[in-house]
Amino acid sequence: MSSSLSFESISHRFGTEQVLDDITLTVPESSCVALLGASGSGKSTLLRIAAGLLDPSAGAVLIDGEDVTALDAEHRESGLMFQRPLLFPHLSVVDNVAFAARMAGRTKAEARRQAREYLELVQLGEYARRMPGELSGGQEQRVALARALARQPRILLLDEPFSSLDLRLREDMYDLIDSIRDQLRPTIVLVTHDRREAAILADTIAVLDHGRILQHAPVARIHHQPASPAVNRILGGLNEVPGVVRAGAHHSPLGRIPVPQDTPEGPGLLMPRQESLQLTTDDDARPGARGTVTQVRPSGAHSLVRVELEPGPGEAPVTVAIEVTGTPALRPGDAAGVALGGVVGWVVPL
Amino acid sequence: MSALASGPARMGSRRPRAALSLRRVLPVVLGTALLIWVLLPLVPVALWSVAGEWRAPAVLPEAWSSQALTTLVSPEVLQAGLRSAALGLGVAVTGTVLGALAAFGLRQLPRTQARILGFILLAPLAIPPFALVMGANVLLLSARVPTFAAVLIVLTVTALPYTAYMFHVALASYDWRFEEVARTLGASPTRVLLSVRMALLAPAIARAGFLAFLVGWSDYITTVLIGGGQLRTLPMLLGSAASTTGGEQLTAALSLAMIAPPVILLILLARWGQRGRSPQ
Repeated sequence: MSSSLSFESISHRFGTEQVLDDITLTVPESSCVALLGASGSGKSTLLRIAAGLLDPSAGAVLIDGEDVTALDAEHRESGLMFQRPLLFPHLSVVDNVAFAARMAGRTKAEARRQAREYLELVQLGEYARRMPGELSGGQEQRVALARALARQPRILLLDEPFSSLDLRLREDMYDLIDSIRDQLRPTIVLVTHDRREAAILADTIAVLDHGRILQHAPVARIHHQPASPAVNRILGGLNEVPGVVRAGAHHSPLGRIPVPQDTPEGPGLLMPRQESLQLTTDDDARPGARGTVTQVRPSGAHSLVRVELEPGPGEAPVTVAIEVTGTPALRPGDAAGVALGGVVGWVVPL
Repeated sequence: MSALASGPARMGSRRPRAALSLRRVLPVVLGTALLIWVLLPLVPVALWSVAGEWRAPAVLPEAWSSQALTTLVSPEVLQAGLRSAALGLGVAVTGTVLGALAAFGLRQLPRTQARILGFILLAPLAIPPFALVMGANVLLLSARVPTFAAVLIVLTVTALPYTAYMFHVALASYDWRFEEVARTLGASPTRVLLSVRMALLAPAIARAGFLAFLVGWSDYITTVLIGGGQLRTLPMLLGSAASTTGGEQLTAALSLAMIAPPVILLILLARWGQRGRSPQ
């Protein structure tokens, strides 16, 4: 059922506007790649090109190494799911799921029998006879997923499929996707602007901005080792600490932070995640920096504390964000210590 | 104390209850009034169709007769009915197809061009039918177009603004991604058209088809001017009966015969436009 998908130097223009610029990306068989980016970054356009709904201005789409760029959408064997479920309102739930089989020439009875299996897969077997208007939003998305899977696609394309659902339903859908990945091992391309969703569902994340892939890497690595400040920001990183790399360490108001051996010496931005920074007390033995709290913003079970670090000689003041559990007993103006939780920092040369 | 405490609560609960009952009753009252408004004029027509003699100030006919109803099954009336039905269905099919194509075509154009062409499409509504028909008549006569076809062509032009508008409105809220999903599910362009587009636009097709049918079925002016009296349709017979002294009974019977088919068609189309179907 699953195949590998490759984009080779894909570019696309709408009139004079370049929406995709030389995109090269490979989605291995049975893996899930998230295309993460803001609105207008070109991620949905790339998905439509993958589905065969849009011809690229340049480049090729390969499935299992075979060039399918000229293949129409109906022959490309991809399953597509949009943000809206788009269930055909004139068909019952089971007939929606049976649609692909009917288009393939199966009898109604056979198509419905197969459709019921996919409805069971999304735990909606008992809803087969209902009309789409009789379902909740979450149930409609499950049916849409069953309909896409019933196509037995070589590639499953998901275009912000859960962004209209509330948080609890989204969590349910994430569990469902996990379960389907375990059972069917589909190759998935997920378009999303939600970095949390990308991190939960995908094996790797490709960050798109203004039609270009800024970085494509495994989830953990792209969070902690962003290729650029832009990637860091898109992935929710709040800290960019300017300093200088010398003798295997980054020197800045945050102190001396060891960096990987291959980090080039010279000016560089240290980008510690706010989750990796910690507040320290006066008797804390760890090396760190001192500063003044400028903001405490509670956010449910966590709080974001911003601390302006005391600059060293010749250094500009820098404010860093630290995510802490609970609500700390700190107020703006209080003194605070800051230390990096990990051993090694990540630096992007300036 | 408890009575005082519960006072405002009870008053508060009465108001929503009164508002709720008003909200329930009002639609029923208005609906009934509307139904009476539509059906009341049909009562004297129905009575006239079976009246042998009915003079003022009698509230009901003084004598009853089925002569006019019997006339409805005469060969002349049946043939006229068939011609009207053929005109109605012909205009419904051609008008609906052309209206759909016009609306789809307008969507492909830039906004300014679409507005200009949309205005041209609606122009037949603004031109007096007499002027439109006379102008078209000269053209069709010189082109030697057969009478029935000529009437059909002109009536289709008359119906086009209604059908195009129906599709224009329907397409404004049409989500083209339904078709994209269908394509990724393996539907060919033809299957997309039949199983998705036509199914999703069924209510618009039904409305446009019905309006176009009415244009053809009930036309008088175009049939008279272009047909020159050769094409005898039900409205022609009705006009003739209405202009005859003492023809009230036949006029009423023909009126009922004119009303029945559109009502039946309306019911059928409403059912077709609403029901769910399996992809074939």
